[in-house]
Amino acid sequence: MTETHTTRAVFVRPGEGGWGKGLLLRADGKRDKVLSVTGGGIHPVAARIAELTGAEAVDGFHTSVPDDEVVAAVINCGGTARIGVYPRKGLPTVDVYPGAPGGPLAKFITEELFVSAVGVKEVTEADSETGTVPPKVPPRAERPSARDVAATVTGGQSTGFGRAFDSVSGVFVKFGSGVGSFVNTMLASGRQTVELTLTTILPFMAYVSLLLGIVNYTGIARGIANVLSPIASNPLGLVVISLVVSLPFLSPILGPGAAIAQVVGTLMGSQIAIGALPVQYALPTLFAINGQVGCDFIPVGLALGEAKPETVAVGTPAVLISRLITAPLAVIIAWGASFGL
Amino acid sequence: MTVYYESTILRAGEEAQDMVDGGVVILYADPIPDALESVSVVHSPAAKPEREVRVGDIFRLGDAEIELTAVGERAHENLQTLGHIVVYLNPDEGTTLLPGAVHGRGTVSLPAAGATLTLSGGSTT
Repeated sequence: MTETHTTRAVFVRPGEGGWGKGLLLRADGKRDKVLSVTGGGIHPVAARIAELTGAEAVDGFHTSVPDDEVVAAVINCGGTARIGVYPRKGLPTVDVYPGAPGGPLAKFITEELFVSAVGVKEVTEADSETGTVPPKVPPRAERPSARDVAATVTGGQSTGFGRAFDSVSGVFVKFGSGVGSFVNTMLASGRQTVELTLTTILPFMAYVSLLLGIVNYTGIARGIANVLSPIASNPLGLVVISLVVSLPFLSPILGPGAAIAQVVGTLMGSQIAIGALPVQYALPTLFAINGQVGCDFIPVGLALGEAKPETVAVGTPAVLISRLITAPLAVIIAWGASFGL
Repeated sequence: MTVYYESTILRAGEEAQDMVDGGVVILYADPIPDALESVSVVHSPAAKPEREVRVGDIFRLGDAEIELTAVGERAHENLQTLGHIVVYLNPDEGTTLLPGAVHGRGTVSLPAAGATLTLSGGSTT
C-alpha cells in the first residue's frame, strides 16, 4: 500500500482500431487501485496507469477491491462479460483488445466509461488541472435487468405484432442466408476446380508431354518392346515381360505412349489371329503388357486427392513396388483363368 | 468423441439465471472478481483444455448438451487462461460472433453446484 497520493491524471486514448474517445483517469484519496482483470497477473497497461497516477495495480482475479477504491478496470475481453460488467458498475474500463460495445450488457458501455485497443503507449500523462467528473451511473432501479438485456441479444422477447413481423422477416432472413450459402458453396467449388486444374492437372499434362517426347525420341520403349516381343510366345516369357515393365524405375517412363502395349500387343494379336498361338494367350498377354499402366500418374493422383507432400513421397514408391508384385501375379491368374477357352 | 476439457460447477451468481434465461451462459473459473461473479457460472476445471475449441464440439453442462455452431477467435485463449467462455444459445441469424464467445444449439438450465461441465469433440490432434 502506498500512502503518497499524488493526484496526477492520465489520459488513455483508444489505439489502432479501438473504440471510444479516451478516458481521463486519476487517483485521489480512497480511489487508489487499478484493477487488472486480464488473467496472468498485472497487465502492462494496468501497471502503466498505476505508475502514472500513483495508484496501485491489483490483480482482480485474486484480490477483491470495493468499487469506490477503483481508478479503472483493465480488461482483455472477448466481448461479453467483462466489457459490460465494469462499465455497469460505473467504473472506467480500459480494454487492451479492440472491443466495441456488444453482448448483453452493451448499453452500459459508453464513451464516458470505455476505451479499447489500448496499449502501453496509449497511456499518457494529462494536465492534472482539468478536473474530471466521475461518470454517473443510473441507480439500480433504473437499470434494466440482465434478463432484459440478455434477451435483446438472443431475441427472446417480442409479442403480438412484433412477433408476427419477426417471424415473417425471419423467413426472409433464412431464405436469404440459404441462397447466400448456396451461392457461396458454388463459388467455392468453382474456385477449387480452377485451382486444381491450374496447380495439378496442367503441370501433370506438361510433365507427361515431356516424358512422351523423351520416350518417343529416344525410342527406349520401342527398343524394350522389340527385345521383349520374342519371349512373349510362352507363358513364362509373359511373366518376365510383366516383371520388366513394372520395374519401379521403368514403369513411369513406359506408361506414356504405351509403346510396349502397342508393339507386343499387335504382335501377339496377329499371331493369335493367324492361329500361330493358342487363344489362351490373349488374356495373360493383356495383363503382361499393361503392368506399367498408371505408374506415371501416381504422384498426380495422390496430389488430386489432396495428399500431403510426405504422403506422395512415401506413396509413390509404395505403389510402384506393389505393382512389381501384382503384375506377374495378374498374368498368372489370367493364365489360370484362360484354360478351357 | 473425446472429452478434452472437464470441470465441476461451484456456484452461480445472482444474475446468472437471468443471463441463462436470455440465452447467454457466462462461465469463469475460480477465483473470480466479485463484479463478474454476479453474472457468471463459476467452475473449477480439472486441467487446461487439451486442444482448441472447434465448431461441432459438444458442450455439456449438467444434463444439457449443446452443439457448437460457431467459435470466436479468442474463445480458446480465454478458456485456457481464465476458464472463461461465453455460450450464446440459439442466437438469431445474423448475430455477430464476438471474439470471446461461442454459439451453440440446444437448451440449458442453470446448473446446480457440483454439476459436471465437459467439452468433447473429435480426436485431440
